[in-house]
Amino acid sequence: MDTTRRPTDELLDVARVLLRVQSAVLVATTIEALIWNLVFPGAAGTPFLLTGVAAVLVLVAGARLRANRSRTRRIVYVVETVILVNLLIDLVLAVVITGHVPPIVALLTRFVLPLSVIALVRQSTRVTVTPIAVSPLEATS
Amino acid sequence: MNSLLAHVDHVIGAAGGSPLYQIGAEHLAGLIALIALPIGALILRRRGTPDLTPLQWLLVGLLAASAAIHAGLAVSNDHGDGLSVLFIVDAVLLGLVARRVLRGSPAGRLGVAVLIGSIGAYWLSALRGEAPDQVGLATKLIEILALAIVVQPASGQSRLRSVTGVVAIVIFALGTATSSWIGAFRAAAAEPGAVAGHHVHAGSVAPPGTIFPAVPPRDATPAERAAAAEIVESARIALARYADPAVAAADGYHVNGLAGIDFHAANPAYEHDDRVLDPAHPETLVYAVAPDGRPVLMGAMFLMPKIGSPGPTIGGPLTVWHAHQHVCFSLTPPALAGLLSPLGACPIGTIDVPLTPEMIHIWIVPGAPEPFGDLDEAWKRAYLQAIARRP
Repeated sequence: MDTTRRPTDELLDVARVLLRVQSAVLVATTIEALIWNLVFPGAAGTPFLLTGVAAVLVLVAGARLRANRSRTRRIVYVVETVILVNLLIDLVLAVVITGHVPPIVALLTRFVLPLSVIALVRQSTRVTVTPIAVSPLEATS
Repeated sequence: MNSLLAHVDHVIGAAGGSPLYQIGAEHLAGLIALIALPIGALILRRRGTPDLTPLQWLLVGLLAASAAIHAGLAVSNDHGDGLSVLFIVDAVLLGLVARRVLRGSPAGRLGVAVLIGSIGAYWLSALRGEAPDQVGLATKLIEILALAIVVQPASGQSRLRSVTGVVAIVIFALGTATSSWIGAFRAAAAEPGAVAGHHVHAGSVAPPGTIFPAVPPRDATPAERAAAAEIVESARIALARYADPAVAAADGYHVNGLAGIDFHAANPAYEHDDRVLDPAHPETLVYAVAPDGRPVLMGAMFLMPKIGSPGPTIGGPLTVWHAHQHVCFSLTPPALAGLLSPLGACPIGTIDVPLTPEMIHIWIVPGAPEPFGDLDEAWKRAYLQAIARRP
């Protein structure tokens, strides 16, 4: 068993878990979009498709995220940026129309989560790769 | 204290809206208890920081946050003594698991059991009709993330275990969203009159996506009844010409794609003409398609020109206007695409419209049980069946 772990691995561990939860939220939203599409047929299924694609991309990216996989990192950046831009539009609308920010859970899943993922993935590419450490998680297993 | 909390309830959420998108006053103590977290972190720092990985630190933080919120909810004691005890037990167990991780041990089966128990208890509570709010949902999201860390397989473990972990997290997210929808709609349905929009009273629980103004619980005066009857009769006469959708289309109503039993044909030109509750110029016509394919004009929807402007309640408690909140609106193509999920997201490619102008429906079909508000679905279908049977 490989017991050598770089600091980048530990940051990517966190990013992977966040991506896993984010993909679960996106899968739930995709199923909701499918149901709403039956109630409001006018939306033509585009939101359902877009959310489904995002869910799959995040799920796959979460499974394949490694320090040396720049393509996976780029996919993560693109999906997270789309989610953040979407939230930005909603935030502006909410503040202008109601004077309130969106609900807390919306801020957690669409601001804190994507921003944390971007920060962790970016940080993992910046951390020096020289120090070798043994993760306490693996040391105890 | 209670009056202060009641005030905060109105400040944080839109008064009259669904609790699903608000912070309930009775749950505010849970958020206040989060102040304990930085204090705990300071104490920990003084005693010497344990050597943990970032993932372990995140897990400790999440468990401690959930424990603090549960402790706060137990102290506020707005849920009855039984539930308060359960909150305390949950807080203690979550604290124990956090302590275990802090000492470098894995959360183990106790961690899995406590987190699943806490999420499961929330599902049960919501399914029994407790209206979910933002504090409850945020806490469950925190616990789902903690569970994702606990069930995360260590490197070298089988792919099957990894896939099982992903599926489990998806199921927990989906279960939380589903139970929250059910809880929110059940809580609204449990309040008589909340859905019908007829005998709406202060304290009614609005269904997700709808905002009802608080209306004093009283009967309409004779003058209000007369005014309500008059506006229905005026609308019936003025809208008779729109029984033919072609005439409506010629006047600017969007009747393309007419389908279903609740088709709203809007006229954008009338939405900003500053006419309020003008029976001859409704902002939207409502059609239904009978089983034989015949379009039937059911009534009209009148819209206020501006968001936040209250509609004129000419019939007192008979003519209650409503607004919608957190409606997901698709941009590709422009159309209604649902409501903001309990997990905080509209589908990608849609925007979250936080609030709409106030609106009211007037039903002109003969024999409609409610001339204003929501028209009973079963009655509507029976009426359309009868229409289809006519030669």
